[in-house]
Amino acid sequence: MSEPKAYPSLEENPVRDFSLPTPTDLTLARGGLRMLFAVLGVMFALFAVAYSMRMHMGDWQVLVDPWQLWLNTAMLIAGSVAMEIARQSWRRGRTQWVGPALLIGGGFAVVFLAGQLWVWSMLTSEGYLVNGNPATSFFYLITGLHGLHIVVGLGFWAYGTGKVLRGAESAQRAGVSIELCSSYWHFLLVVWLGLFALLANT
Amino acid sequence: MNEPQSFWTKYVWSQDHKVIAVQYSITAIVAGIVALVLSVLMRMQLGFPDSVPFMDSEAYYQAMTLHGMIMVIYLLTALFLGGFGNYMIPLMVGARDMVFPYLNMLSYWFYLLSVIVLMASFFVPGGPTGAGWTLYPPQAILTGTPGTDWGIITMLISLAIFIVAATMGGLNYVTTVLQARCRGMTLMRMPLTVWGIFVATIMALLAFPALFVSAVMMLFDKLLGTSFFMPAVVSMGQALDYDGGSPVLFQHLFWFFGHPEVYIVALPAFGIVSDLISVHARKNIFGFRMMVWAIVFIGVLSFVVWAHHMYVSGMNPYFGFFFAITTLVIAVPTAIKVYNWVLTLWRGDIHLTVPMLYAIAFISTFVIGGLTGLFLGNVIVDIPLSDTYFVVAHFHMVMGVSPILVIFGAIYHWYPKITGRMLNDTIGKTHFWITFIGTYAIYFPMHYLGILGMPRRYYAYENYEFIPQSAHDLNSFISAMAIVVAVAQVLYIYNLFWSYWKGKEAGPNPWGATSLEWQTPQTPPVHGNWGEKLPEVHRWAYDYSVPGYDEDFVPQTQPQPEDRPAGEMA
Amino acid sequence: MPLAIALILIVVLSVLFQVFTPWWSTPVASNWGHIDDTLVITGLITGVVFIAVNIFIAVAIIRYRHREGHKADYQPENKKLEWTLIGLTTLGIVGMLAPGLFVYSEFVDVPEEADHFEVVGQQWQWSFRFPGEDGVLGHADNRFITPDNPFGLKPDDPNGADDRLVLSNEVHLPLNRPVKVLMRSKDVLHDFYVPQFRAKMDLVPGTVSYFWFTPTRPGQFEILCAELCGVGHYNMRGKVVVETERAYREWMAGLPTFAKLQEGTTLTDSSDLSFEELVEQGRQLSQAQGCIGCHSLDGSPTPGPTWLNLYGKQEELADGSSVLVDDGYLREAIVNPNSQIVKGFAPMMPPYPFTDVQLDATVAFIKSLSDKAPNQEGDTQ
Repeated sequence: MSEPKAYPSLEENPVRDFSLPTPTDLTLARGGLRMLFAVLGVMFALFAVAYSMRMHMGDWQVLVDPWQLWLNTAMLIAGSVAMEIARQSWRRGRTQWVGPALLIGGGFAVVFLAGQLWVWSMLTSEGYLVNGNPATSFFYLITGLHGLHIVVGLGFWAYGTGKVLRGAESAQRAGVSIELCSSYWHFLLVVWLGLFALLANT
Repeated sequence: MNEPQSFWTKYVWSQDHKVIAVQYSITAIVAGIVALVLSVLMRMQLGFPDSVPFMDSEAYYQAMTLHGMIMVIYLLTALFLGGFGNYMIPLMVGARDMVFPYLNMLSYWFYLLSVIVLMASFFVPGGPTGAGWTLYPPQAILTGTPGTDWGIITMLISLAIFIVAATMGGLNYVTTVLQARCRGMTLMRMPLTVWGIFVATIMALLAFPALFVSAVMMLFDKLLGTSFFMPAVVSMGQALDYDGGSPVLFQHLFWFFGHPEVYIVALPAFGIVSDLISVHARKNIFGFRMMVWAIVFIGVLSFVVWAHHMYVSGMNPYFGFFFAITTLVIAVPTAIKVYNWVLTLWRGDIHLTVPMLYAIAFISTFVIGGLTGLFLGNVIVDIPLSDTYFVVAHFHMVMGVSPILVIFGAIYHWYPKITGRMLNDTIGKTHFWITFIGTYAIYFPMHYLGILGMPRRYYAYENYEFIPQSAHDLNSFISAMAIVVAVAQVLYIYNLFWSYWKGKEAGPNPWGATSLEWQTPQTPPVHGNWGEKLPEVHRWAYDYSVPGYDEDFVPQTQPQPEDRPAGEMA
Repeated sequence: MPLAIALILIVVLSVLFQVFTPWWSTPVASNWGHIDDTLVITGLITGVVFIAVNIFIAVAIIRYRHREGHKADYQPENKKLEWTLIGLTTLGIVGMLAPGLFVYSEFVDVPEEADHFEVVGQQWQWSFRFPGEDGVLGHADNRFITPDNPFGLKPDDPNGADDRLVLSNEVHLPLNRPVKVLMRSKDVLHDFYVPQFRAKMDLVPGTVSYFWFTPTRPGQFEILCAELCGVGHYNMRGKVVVETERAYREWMAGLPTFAKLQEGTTLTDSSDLSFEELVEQGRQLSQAQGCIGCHSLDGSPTPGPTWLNLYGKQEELADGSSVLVDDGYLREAIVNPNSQIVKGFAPMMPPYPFTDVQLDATVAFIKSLSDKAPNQEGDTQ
């Protein structure tokens, strides 16, 4: 055992930086949302891993993708663009744009969901059932879960948009909602693009 | 901070992290008592076959499954993260509360719901699932296993709810640690308790999705007839409609969650025990930075060792080389932690308080559990031992007895802060000795039954020629010890109640500890924790027995000598 | 102080336990004696660490326990000591891992000359298949399983016709010949485990898993299931007989081939069979269908009622009534098992849509196990 000595690192370089910023609601919420993205990202990635492992089991039949999926993808992109416009307008103080852009962004998400349901009913009527080939099972499972996340997102969107349209008693609170909703829209778009690439090619 | 007024908002629909922590802890302990009773029923059957009338093989496997699931998920994970994480993080990093208090409250209520759904499975037709806590398909959803009607469905739904709860809590803990530390609280000044819980929470956030994915896919297989995990099978003479699925895929997903889960339980225990040892040995934790890096390193590595649970699963046997190496590599940072704990004792001023007894006992039991892990991680040594009692003894020692000893020590240590009163030492010591010696007597010899080759998850061992009578006798002895230890747990529970009203007044800092939670203006801390002004941190959490100070501890809030105006030197 | 004594006592008792333990590995009966060696190496290295850590703690408690006026040292880090310990640990790890991986590389490397045979698991029994003269196992799949084809062999695969089938729980192996065990499951996970052979591996439905070993000791060894497979898991027994090449060949010659079994099971009418023949049919059927996994033949407790002396018994039902076990009851209990549940048993048996011949055969077999059955030559209709 060596002789006791003063602790080198912490005492010689005590961190003098007492400037941890007082976090605002926005930075906190954004930090939490990023962690949530990590969690959801891992979840969808694991579905993709399970998908590609199951693919090699021999009984896999490639699902012929309905063309409507391209249309739905376009809807989702449009929704994301609208939400970004809402966010940028808010940041630059062009408040008259915010409400309409939010409504359009949410509207596209609703149309996307309707489009996905259309695809489902079409597949079902053509005899591609959830308990059929695993490619079909995965299609329902993955699009269903993605859709569910959009539904939850729409819940928060309705809450935030309501605040904005009512003239937002607290400008800051509305801002948090707009920021978070648009990030969430982008995230689900990215997830969808990844899933679509996976589903469409195999 | 508005003080909540009514009983309901203060204790039930509370958003105060400390109240939520207590709610989490009480719920987890109640669930744990159910699991303890189940284990006694199992040990009765194993040690004294047919002594419990309703314990047929179905009931046995149901008890086994629920015991495992409750202990791992609903007790240990919930208690360490939801209980200790909730109570300690804001206090130890100098925050007024979790950053999302409402989400924190929701997290508890979802957790409670998951426990209720789980307990409901005892009352559904067919009873709870008996598929083992690993819930391996195909048996988890096929006839021949108990609880395949409703039990497995309630189990999977309960898990999904739990995962939602754990995610809501986890987002809170991580964001709080990252963004709500008080002035001066750098990451490297956080106590190891926070470090352990922080890394474990990140792991939980990244690992639980794997369980969620496998639970959802299994629900699809069960309810909608998909074949994700289900190959073509002929069950009890009936050809089923499943085709082509892969049971091993489930195992990969499950253990991608399951192995990190072991460390989700272990890392908070590591962190807490480091602090207990340091406080009660009146000495800084030895090699603090190495301890932090070991926690981080273990956390990262634990995501690439999962298939060591699958050496005999029928997966590609060449995977065994990779996973044996990663698994044994993880032993190095783990060993560092053990060395640093015992080196902290060396040249210390060891106060053998009750929390310290539990902490030292933890080192001893953890060393056994960790070392036997080296047998099972090394693929070739695992092959004869896997699925025997050696495995049972190993994981009970390493993630049953060891973390629970830490929980006992930790509750003992922080009870004065939580309630303002000390626990009773006589009861505490009695409980400690019975539990420590008792668990040794249970699990040490159990390893040898495994080396003998006795397989685990057996309802009975009648007429197996390779099992001598002496092994049956040993099993009876183990059961007798288990019952003694189980009954002794009443002492601890009794102590918690008795001391709440009759315990000695504790004062703000009975152990003379440096970390922030002991520096609150009130004991127990009130909602908001810190009164008018947030604390400021000037040093690490381990300034014990610093030369040149009269007291043998220097609180984190005490400025460094050069920070203070002249003339105020101690 | 008591804690220090306790820790020292734990070390002393543990070492004594290790030295005098009556519980240790069964004598090895395969070529995997090296596995035992790796276990001993691991035991020695970990044992030293176990003793060292506990004694170190005990000494620390004795020397540095709190006394009036005593103060701890202030010693945050010691880089040299920490790195030395890391180095020593790494050395110990390598000492365990290197021989382990060396033996494991033998384990995964099946010798060219190894024979092979197949283990088929189902709840809760074993059966086995050997390649015939051609040395090749016919293709098999659960999708092909029918009451007449319990192994699920592909009917038109020529390799399968001469495969030798073992429809009982007992398998024979020749001494000192390396053998590759191929494993399939019909229903859930199982694990083929013979403690004396050391090696074990799961049976996974949908895939074929494998391992290899060489039996090195003649004798009879118990087969156990080592992967939870449902309520009968603990009772999924079998037997390996390791014997001389000659005895093994004789045993093999007595096994039916797949082609032969196919011929024998195409009966459509039972009226021209004697009672003994019918009983034999029933015995084979109840093995093939897995009945005896849940219904013991010797009175031992199993998930379903034992068949020993079942026929002619007054059975108490879960609803409190009682019923005489006769032909009609048994036939109904096979086709529609959950209509009448026997007291003390769970409603877990699936319906078996047997043909009339199969029902006759099964009932005859159950009858043959009962001393209460009326004139056995009598009414088999």
